Amino acid sequence: MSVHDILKQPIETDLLEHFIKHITMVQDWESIMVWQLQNKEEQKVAFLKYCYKREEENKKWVRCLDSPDKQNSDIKKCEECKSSNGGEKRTSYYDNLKNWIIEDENKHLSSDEADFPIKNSKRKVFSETIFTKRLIPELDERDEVEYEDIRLIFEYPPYTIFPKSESTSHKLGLYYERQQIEILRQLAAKFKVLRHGIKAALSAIIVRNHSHHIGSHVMPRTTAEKVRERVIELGITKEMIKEVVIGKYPSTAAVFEKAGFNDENSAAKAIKQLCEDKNNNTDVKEFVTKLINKAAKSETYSKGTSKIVDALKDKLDEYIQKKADFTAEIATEPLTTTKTMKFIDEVFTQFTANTLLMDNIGANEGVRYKSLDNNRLKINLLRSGKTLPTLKYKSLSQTGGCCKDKNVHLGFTYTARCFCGSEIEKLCDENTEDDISIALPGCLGEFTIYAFLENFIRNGIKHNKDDIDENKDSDFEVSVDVCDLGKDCKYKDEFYKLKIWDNFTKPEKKITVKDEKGKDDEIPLHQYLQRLIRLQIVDNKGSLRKEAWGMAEMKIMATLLRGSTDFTNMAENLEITCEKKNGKKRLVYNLLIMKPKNVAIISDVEINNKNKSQNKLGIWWFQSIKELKNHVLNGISPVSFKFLIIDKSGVKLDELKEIKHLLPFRIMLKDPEKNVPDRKWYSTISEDDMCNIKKDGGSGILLLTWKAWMKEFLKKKNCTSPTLFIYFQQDKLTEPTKSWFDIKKKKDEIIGLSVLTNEENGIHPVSNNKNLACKGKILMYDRHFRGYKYLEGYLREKNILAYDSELHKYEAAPNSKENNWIHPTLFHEAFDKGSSDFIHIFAKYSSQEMVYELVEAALLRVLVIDERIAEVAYNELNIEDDAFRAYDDVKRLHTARKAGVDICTHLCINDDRTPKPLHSSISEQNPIVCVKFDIKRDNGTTQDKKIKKVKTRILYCEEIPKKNKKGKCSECKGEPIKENMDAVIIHQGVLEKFFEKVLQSSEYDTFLKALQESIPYVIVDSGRGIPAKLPDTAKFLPFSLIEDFVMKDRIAKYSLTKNIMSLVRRK
Amino acid sequence: MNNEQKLYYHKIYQKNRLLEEFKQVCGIEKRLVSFNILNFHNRKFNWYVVDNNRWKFDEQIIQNINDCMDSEQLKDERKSFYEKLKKLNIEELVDSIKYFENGERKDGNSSKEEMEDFHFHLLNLYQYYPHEEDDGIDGVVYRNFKNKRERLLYTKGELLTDLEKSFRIYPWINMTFIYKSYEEIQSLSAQEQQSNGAEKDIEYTTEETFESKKHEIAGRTKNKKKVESGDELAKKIYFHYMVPLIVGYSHPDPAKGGLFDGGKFQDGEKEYLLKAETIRELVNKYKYILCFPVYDTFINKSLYGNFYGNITIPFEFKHDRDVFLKKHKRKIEENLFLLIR
Repeated sequence: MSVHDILKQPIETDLLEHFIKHITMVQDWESIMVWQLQNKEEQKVAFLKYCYKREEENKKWVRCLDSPDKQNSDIKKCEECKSSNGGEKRTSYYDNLKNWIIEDENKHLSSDEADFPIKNSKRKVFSETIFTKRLIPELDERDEVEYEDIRLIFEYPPYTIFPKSESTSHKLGLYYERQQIEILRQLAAKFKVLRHGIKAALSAIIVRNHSHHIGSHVMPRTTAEKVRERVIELGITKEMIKEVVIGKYPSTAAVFEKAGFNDENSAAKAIKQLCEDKNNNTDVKEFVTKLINKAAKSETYSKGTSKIVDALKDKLDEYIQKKADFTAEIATEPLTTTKTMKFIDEVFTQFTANTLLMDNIGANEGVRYKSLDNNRLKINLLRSGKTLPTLKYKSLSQTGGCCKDKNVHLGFTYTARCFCGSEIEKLCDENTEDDISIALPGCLGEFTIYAFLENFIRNGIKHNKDDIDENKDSDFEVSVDVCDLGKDCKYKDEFYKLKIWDNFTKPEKKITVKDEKGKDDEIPLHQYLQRLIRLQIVDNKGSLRKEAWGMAEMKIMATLLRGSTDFTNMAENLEITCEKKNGKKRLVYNLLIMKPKNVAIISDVEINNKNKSQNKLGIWWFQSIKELKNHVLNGISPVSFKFLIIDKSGVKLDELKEIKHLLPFRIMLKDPEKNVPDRKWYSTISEDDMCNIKKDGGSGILLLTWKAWMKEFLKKKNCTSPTLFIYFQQDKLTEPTKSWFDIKKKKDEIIGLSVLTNEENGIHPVSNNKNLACKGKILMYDRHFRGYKYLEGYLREKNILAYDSELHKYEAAPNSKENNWIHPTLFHEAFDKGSSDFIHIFAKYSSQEMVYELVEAALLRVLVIDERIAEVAYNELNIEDDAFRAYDDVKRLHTARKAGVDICTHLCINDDRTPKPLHSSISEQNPIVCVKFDIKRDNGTTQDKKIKKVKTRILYCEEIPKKNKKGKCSECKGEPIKENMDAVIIHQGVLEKFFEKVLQSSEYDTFLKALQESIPYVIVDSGRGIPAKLPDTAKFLPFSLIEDFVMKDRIAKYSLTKNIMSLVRRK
Repeated sequence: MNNEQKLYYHKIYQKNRLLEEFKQVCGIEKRLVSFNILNFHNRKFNWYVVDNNRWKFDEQIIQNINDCMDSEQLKDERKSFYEKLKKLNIEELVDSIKYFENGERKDGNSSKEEMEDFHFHLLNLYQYYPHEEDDGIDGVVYRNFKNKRERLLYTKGELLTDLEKSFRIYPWINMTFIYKSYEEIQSLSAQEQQSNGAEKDIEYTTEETFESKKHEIAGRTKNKKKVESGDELAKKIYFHYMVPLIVGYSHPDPAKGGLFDGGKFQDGEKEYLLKAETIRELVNKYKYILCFPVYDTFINKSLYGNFYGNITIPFEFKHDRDVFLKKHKRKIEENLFLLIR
């Protein structure tokens, strides 16, 4: 065996283990131990991670113990390894090693071992730290960081011949070390190539599977024509069928009187029954086609169909577009950030409500909607084995119920409408308490779950086709169970376990495979699939392995969900087991999903006990910025924090600035450096607030933190005591409105709350009236503008407001006592089904935390510089006419401004008074939002001019500026936007195109950092994954999210803010 | 070995190239020297000795091997042999097994390149075959070194061919181990597995004790397995066919003369395979041996570290060996480092 033999070995583990596993092809060792050094309570500790040693009998080189973290029988082995061959003496040897590693002084250690098999022998070991770029220049940065605190202990065979004296014996170790470095250099290079291969393979697998699931199974069945037919087919109820059929074939009237029509049968079923009547010889297919054609043309039935078809297709298109962005992110830099979502209300309702997907992904095998609200493909959600109530929906008809029955609840209907044609909404009454927040990888992290499910569903349906055919009355049920990890599991604070199974797959079904001797052998399905999981997605040369791509994608998604991007070693992230569920054996996929992390606190307090009890609540204590940085970069799960609090004096702001990209935007310092003028990018926390946080056991810390943050935030925004006004178009007893009343009762001293409800005779206020009269401080989340209309009515009634019908504007009432009248609504967001905020606001039970989130979202001022958004800035939104009064206009630009989003339409760079439109199509439009960038450079020669400062001014011009002959604004008449801008989202394309003459791509980093001095939160967006030229310290958002939040008919400021505030960039 | 083969990175070529240089430096070019290496990964030995005439095969030999590989009589032996090699999980070896097993191999009428391929794949099967760490001369040297835990300088041995009943093919050896401390240990050592785990090394100090120990061994029955296990079947292909062919044993049929050419003959149970007795006769030709252990690290003009392999030099006569030792010992010891590059 030689070096090339090592290089030819298939890669199944990480670089370190691969090296250890195969080093005995070149060197002879008795054992190699992998120790991890850690700092605990400012003291170094070392623990054994795993080791390789010789098997007793045949001397084979094997991994003798597994990570002690794992909950399996290997733990036992590990313990044996530490204490075997001599009981206490061996243990003392182990402790001896531990101390030696911590002291880190000598390379060699000899130890007399009376218990050693041969008398008078010495155990000799040597220690290594060679995983640095200094020694292995080919080493990947990630590996260097990961192995920084690893110490390898090599144990010589007992018969090794050493140079004469103990003092020169280290030369032997050095000799082997040099040899290892040469091997590692080649291995590291190989891993690099492989990683590139894997990256390419990832995209290929995801794209291919998407093309198969969506391209082949869904898209051909979702042409406008086919969706239209399906809407009609499923939407026709008994009464409708009766009417049409009897009208056409009067003699069939008697059929409708038969039993079997008492439920809401679909057209297909009803027609089938009709045609199966012996007296009727009509060909079924032909009859159905005729009927559908007839119905489609019929004014009664096709009314509204086009609208429904458009809505369904839009939802599918949005899914496809976001998935494309998600794929681009994986192909470029996955997991640079994480986001938090509610597992049921946000992640799953999105998937199940995408009915074109749910109807067609299993349609080939007949798994699809059987009737309007009954899909044969069902997803059951469980929490730690307990089945949660099925998600139910109800009609939104003004009568308060559907089809005369107020209590009729439905599954999610194909059309997203009730039988009566009204829109439906989710009933929040039953499941929300069991819902949990999870952290997802990336801004579009929910697509990891969706991609997993696509594969899971396709596999389950495809491979059980015969059974599904035979059991036509059985649904294909997918069960998804979120479980807590065992109390002894090291991962319990950072992960949940996700278990997924279906009700058709038989885990013990025999699969024929070739055994080691090439003979046919039969193994159960669950073992077979586990074998597939162990296969690398690329072969040893880095080429894509062309088999089991569905399983490969599930493995990729499980890896991402677990918060890892180590795609070279994914097998551990997905486990397939055979388990009994409700008495039946099921094939269960097991994976980990991340728990959210809320607050990071850097403090001098004793942190160990705090972490022990509070990590599970998302509260993490650190002793230093370095420790936090290390946690963010190398923590078990890479979840982004919502807040960072620094309860330590003497923290250097510069040090913090260096890692700003790894931190959330919400940063609070207890004791900031004095005389620092720039306080835009951090906030302060008072001694009292900090004291309360330290005293709290953990469960109240998040709220205390929010409160402390909000106090400062309101001060900064010059908006003390605002009123959050919320209206869901619901009655007082329906969730989530009901829960908002509970919050209201608690009364928060810094924010007022008004909740409107529907009552029998319309809308009535239920909040304290004085909140509604406050000047310019109402922050309104309003369904269908009804809250706004109510407020108008109220203010007019109180003689505060008058409407000028000529100017189409509100103004102070002539006899108003108010002098400097300001419109009472500072912020207004109309949220309904067209808004991406809808599910996030509507689905949640309220909480004080949500009050703060909504207020923060309302007051955060965001500037968007993106030519694609600019292009549609003047489009009139499909929105209620009330918008004319609320926003002055129904154009996106105006709507967005009222939601605190300024869409940049023109740029002026470096004092050039020639505003350039971001998009050619808007050059004649007005008003304009002109952003002036002034890039100041150091004095000096052209070559070494460095960016010193970037000044920004944002101007709002009502009319197109008059220009002189040179095309310059003759006079800048822009009205400066007064509010301090908090965040800017700038398209990478804008940087490359508009700043081409004034910025080199190598200066983007400096430019963006300088820009942060004037606008603290800077984010770059792009639709092509993370752009290559994007600096490593710049935060990134995929364009499809911006599009989702700003380019629809409603502005989704809440979702936009949530995404911005916890965003990090982890290279 | 031709010049092109010297460029191959595979160990059998590399180690034989180094051995050639080593022999030149030591002035022992004419001597048959084998260099077998310990595979640290599974702690089994690999043999690399190739007769000078077997670095290429002519058309006739290829045809003979092909016939042997197609022989219905040897079906089970071949299967076991391939299985044993497959278990090693070595990618290159898998290719070579496929070459023979799936009939991808060429025949005697093939092009030069194809004939070289044939030779390459056969040598691959040969070089990866795992020998138990305890078996053969290498095994004897290795286990005694491990037990003593001291630098072993060299070993002299004499095959005890007269103890016919106590071995199958490879006889007991009367060994003398010379350690760095100039301590000489004499032992009767077995090259083959012993029944019921009986002792394999029996130390003696005087001529008298030697005789009594020898007598004791003569009373032992050889380890003869009645049931032919898979491993035993695999060994037949390797030891009774491949080794005689590649190491260059004389043809078992005196009428044919020259080296064994892999062609069909039958003097035992099965065609193509040499009988144990025949091999024993051929092996016994070289009764006296000299072994130098090779360690894997070269520091300060000396070898240290772990047991890397063993060079073995066979002699027909004791006198020749002793003269050779006297004359070449120093030079050999000084240049062993050439073999670990």
